[in-house]
Amino acid sequence: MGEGMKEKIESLIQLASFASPFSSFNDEFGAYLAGYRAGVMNAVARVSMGEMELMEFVARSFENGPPDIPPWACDIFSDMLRTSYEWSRKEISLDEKTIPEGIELGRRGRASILRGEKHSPKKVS
Amino acid sequence: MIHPKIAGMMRDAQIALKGGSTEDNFGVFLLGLSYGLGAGAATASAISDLFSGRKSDETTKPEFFVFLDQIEAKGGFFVSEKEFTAAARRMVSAYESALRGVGELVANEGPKVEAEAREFRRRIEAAGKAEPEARRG
Repeated sequence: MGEGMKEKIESLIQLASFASPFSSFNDEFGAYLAGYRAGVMNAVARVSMGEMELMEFVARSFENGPPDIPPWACDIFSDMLRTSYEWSRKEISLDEKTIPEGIELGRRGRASILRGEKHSPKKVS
Repeated sequence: MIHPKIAGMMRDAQIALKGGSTEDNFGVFLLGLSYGLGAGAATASAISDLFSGRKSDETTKPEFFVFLDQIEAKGGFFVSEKEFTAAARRMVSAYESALRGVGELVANEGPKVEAEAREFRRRIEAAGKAEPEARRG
């Protein structure tokens, strides 16, 4: 997976840890942050999976609680989270305008995923 | 060639985005998950080291974009039922875990932490809407 992966993973863990205490299901941005954090940690797990040294590094990163995040990084993380939230909202509102039937399809799709139903193969565009 | 792990992450990010919506918690969670996975994949591909203050690995940079262009030209990933089911399980598991995690945080730390977090989210959102001059001030 390339050189310097530990440093990249460390940055991702810091980013996820930054989003963690601000996650909440009481408002939309909080739920977005919860998802973002989960996505970043999912990426960390997948990148390190099968690479013993990286897996040990990830495990050690949480031994003493959440990692330290330098103040300059907090400002950058905050900008990154807000920007991605705003981009995703724009993208979704554009989709909802151009394909209104997608709203109902998406609603049914999410409900069926939560129920654990089977889905037919299809192209995801 | 793009690493299969990166391809897998981008495929899941696309599935999550497809289910993303602002009308319910799971939809918003999927939106965030999609962008979080994208950030992770981009960082692992060495194209997003800006926030760490390091120089990007230029040798792998074009590879990631070539891959995204190829997928876009094909009209998206082809997802088999097996892949979709596996991705859906990961997403539901992450959602349920996040629900538990957030609940535990509030239970352990008390409503003060939740109020502080709410205030912080409000500040981040407000900063994004403020004029550049106001942000600097």
